[in-house]
Amino acid sequence: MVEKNGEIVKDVGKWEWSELWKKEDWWAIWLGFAILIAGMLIYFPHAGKMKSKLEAAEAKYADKAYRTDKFKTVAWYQLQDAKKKVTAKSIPAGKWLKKFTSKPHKWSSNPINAFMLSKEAAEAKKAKAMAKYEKAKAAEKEALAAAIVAEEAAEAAGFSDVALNAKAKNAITKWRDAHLATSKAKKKTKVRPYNQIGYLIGLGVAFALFFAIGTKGMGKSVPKFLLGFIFVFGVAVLSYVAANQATMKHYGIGYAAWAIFFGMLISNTVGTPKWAMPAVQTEYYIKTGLVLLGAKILFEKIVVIGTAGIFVAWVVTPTVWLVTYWFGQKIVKMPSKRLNATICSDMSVCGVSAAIATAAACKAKKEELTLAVGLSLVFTSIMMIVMPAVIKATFPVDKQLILGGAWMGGTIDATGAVAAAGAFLGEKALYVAATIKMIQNVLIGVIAFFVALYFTTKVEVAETGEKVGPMEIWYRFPKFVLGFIVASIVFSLFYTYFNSQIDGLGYSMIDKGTIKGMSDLFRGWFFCLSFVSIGLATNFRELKEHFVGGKPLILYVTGQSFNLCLTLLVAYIMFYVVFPELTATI
Amino acid sequence: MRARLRAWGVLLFVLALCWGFAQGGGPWLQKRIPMVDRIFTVIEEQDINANAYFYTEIEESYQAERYIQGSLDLGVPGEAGLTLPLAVGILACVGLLWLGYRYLPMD
Repeated sequence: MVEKNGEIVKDVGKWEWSELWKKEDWWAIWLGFAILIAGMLIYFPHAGKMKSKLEAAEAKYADKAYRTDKFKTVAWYQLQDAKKKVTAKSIPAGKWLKKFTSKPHKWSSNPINAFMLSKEAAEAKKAKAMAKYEKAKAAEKEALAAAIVAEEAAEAAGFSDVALNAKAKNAITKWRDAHLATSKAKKKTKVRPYNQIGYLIGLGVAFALFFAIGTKGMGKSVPKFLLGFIFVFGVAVLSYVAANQATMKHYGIGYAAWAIFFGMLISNTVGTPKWAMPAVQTEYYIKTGLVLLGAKILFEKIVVIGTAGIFVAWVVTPTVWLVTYWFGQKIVKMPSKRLNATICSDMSVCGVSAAIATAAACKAKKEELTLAVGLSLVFTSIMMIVMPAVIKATFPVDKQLILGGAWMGGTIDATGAVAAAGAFLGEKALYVAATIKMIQNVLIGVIAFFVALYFTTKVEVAETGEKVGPMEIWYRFPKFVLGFIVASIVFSLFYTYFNSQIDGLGYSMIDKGTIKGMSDLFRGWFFCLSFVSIGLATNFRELKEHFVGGKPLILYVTGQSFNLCLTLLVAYIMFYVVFPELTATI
Repeated sequence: MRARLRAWGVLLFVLALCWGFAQGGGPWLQKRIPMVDRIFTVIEEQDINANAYFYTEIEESYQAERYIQGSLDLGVPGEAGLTLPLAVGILACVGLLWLGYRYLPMD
């Protein structure tokens, strides 16, 4: 209820059909769906071709691949490698889309290289990389020959000689390490000259027109939006340039941090230009990006890690979320429930993505999201370096890879940092850590829905002091969450449908088709635009108010400490006490 | 006018600090702390996108998925895929959130 000119105005929710084309939440859904449908129209007609390629790979390797269950054979790996190459996004339209939406490139000392690379410079880079590649290729060839010899020896003994099996497994592992080194070296030989400037201008124009459709629908001034968008997009490009600088990439300082930082730097020094303000639309960009994110929440992924991993990723995480939230309310006495919830999500689920989804679901203030993301980014960089060091120094050698990997996957917020820390320990640790993180990523959908429901039906009711009926709940519920959930369910069903035709088709058509070849190309840009908008509209003083008494920091540190202890305990119990035979196969 | 110049000065100074960290401070720190140096070497050699926020942004997630799935299918087919303990784990997650919905403090 609000008082207006001496009268009490009751804020009663009322559904009107015109909301479908007037409200931001619905525009986020329509625009997000438009991109996803376009992706389906581009890639799905190629399903038959992809299926044929996968069948050809199976016909070539499957018989030899499954000769034994004692270890993964050379042919098993060759089958996986062949299937991995079958991707829908490699069709010409996919390649063009990738080029068109490409972010500024990696650079080290000359920022011009973020936008263009001359033919001569590309040739020089390629020549340097080729020498390394040739060396790696020769080493791989040698390792493969040794692996085949060892495998044949094990096969001659009917795969029943334990020593020969172990020798073959060892030789195959060495070949895979060499193979990994070769593929990384090969990737670096694919240097081509580029000039991204024209594409970036085209992309900026395309995004401006795309978001202008919704702006028009919401009854706002399109010319003013278009003018302001030039500035917001420019800062977004600058954020990607900074994030792709070699040192920044190493430290894991990504586009989200830079977008907020540059935005805040501008708004708190020279000031955000007034003409840019109509395009400073945090919620609009973020919600559209979140609908696209929904398509990546594929529920079939959670069956991958199997029994042991699900407890680490899906039982520990909500426990930590709830306990930390309770701690924030009862002990730390956080002044804002929304900031509390956003910190709980970024700390326990998966950092920035979870913070964005939660903040939007509970309608947190932009400063609250900034604080939560800032805390997550700082601690992610620290944990990426400290955790592998602690594991190396304190864990028994036989438990460093799987237990260490599971521990890092369940606790380090950002996926990239998880991969880096895992890779430091070894390939197995990287795979366990990345898989646990992937399943945690899927939990975003569940957590966002829970938060939206909890805040709509409990927190907002308590704040207004009135009981609400189903229609009021529907009115207040953040509608974009529905788009997010629908996208997740639809794409999960498509993923399962494709995989039911032939193993790997879901990967080719969804993971490496509609997602990597369409939604992912746009989502990153949309989140970047929203973070730039947050920064451009944030005042240091307002941000400081939310940090009073260091409560957000206390909450994050306490919650993360609890997360570290519980994840380690549950990972140990699950991988070494309850399911040791499962652990032995990884 | 003076305030305006000062504002631009602060902006340029902070940008210069960032440049300094990228070109000097960051690499210097890396060389001084061996653990940092070792991690960054791994990131560079294996071309890992340490900036990634979501699993789809790194190729390693897909490699990991295939590796783990293959390991379980091959080694313990009875415990791979949709098993009873897996369903229990998912139900436990939903149950925990339901408890939270019912009993989280409102004050």
